[in-house]
Amino acid sequence: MLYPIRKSELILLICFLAVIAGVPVTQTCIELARHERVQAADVFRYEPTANNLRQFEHTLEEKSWFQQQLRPQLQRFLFATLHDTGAKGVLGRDRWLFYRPGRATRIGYNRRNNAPIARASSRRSSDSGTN
Amino acid sequence: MVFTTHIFVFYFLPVFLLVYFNLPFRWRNLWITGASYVFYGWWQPWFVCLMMLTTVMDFIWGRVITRPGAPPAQRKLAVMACVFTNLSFLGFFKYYMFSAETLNQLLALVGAEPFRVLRVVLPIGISFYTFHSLTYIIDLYRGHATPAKSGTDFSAFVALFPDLVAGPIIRYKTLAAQLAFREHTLPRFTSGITLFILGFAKKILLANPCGHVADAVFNAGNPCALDAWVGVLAYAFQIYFDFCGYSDMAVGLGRMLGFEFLKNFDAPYLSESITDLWRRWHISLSSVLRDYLYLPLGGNRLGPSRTYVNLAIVMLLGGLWHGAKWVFVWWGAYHGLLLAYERWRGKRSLYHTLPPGFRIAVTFVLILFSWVLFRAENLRAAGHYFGAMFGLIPATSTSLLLAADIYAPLYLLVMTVCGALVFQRVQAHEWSLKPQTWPRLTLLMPLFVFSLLVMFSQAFNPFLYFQF
Repeated sequence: MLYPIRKSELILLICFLAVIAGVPVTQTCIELARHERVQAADVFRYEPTANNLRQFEHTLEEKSWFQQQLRPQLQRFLFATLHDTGAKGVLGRDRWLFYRPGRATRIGYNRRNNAPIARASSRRSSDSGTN
Repeated sequence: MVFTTHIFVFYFLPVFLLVYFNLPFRWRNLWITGASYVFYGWWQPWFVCLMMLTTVMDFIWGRVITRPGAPPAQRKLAVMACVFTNLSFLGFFKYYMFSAETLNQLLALVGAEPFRVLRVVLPIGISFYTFHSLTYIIDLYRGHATPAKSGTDFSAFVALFPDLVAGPIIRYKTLAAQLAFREHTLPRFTSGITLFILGFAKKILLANPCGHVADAVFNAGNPCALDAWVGVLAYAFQIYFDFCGYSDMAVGLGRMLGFEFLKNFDAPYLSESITDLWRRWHISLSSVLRDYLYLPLGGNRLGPSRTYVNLAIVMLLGGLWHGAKWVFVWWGAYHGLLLAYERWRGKRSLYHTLPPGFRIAVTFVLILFSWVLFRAENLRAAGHYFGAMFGLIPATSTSLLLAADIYAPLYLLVMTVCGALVFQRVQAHEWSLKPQTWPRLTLLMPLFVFSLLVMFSQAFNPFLYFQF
């Protein structure tokens, strides 16, 4: 090697590789220990069509042990610190939670005639507000 | 495949790196090609066939153009045929539906019967790899590059997965020597990791939350003026951190593989004029448009009026390159007009006498106006949004609902961080080139782990520039 190696760079390399390789290796070990099918191997099981690949990717994410364990913790942390309610919720007054897609429909744009549907429903929605 | 997904970070990347660094050098370009086809085909496997076809075709055209003893007329014919074929593919897949629908609208105006429009699926990133191939062919013709030594080298250049679907647009002459030989060193690899992590964090932690704010406001019926300004500001941050984040990841991955790509952004929101902006925003596209379109049109050599026309043409086509929608054409026209105006004033803006901070602020507001055109569904929606920004459209009480959404503490925090980052001069690209010291390490790894955790909780968020 022509360049001097810094210990910090070596640690960065090891940590990075440990994170990106550690997750799939641990996942495989967990699946084998539970006598389950190794999810990652499913990519070779089905015909590689766009739908099958999407399904495979979705299943891989949803069955990930790390994702299952860590996602609720992070969501709890973000809600406690920054009142983040994720993709489906909006936090209102007095900590009421509203369903985001429903809210979007209420204030959304009527694409057919480009007339804001909010105008029509403004009076009705004025009381519902954020609580 | 998207860089910020489970499948890429935890499966594709480790497997790719493991095999890559265990192969002898002569096999590495072949592995890059194969892996890039998997990466690209992940969206739709048949897209790979189209890319293979254009790769083989362009490689053969390259050989024809550089054949020893080939007469100039034959070389010219070959380059024209190649450019025509590549642009035909691009034109069909990207602009057929747009052209047909526009024609139908015109027919409807004169009362004629519209014809049936075929539904054409747009292969992702086709604009980028078509431009890669075109730069190869045109550089060969001009004698600025030597032909690829092997089909493997050329296919690795076209398919190279880090920059395949959203740039930066890399010319063959930049990579030719690196395809033949490149050095893999630990400092370069760790510098690549640094840039990858910073780009990853930009996309996950900054661009995606800003995208939620922008989507909420742009999809709202009648936002109040403040909400409308916040919405376009959020979109300005989203598009910058999304695209710049992608470019950082691309350059970072390239460095891990021993390649050195040019940087694509240089603090664009610190521009003091629109001319300055185009030296800092999507630098690879600006330079390609300059060298392969503006200069062949005559550049500034044919007199002032022709220079303005050339600038307008380049920006109109640059706008159309972004997508087959009229709003992109208007976006290009807006920038072309401002560029031509500044050129007329000797590359100075109307407000060049103001102090630098004010010049940056005025330019930023001009950029925000252009983002409204870029983000809006159509011209009518853009007009409606401009009206909301200037209070010309009365806000309804439902803006309370919108406010509850966009002024959440998380979004306010993210937008404050975005503001602090875009208006300072230290850029990730330069930062990553410095040695990775212990303080940096203690910042980078927690940032990466936190970004991954946030990625676990986010819905699918493809990069904005994938559609181009």
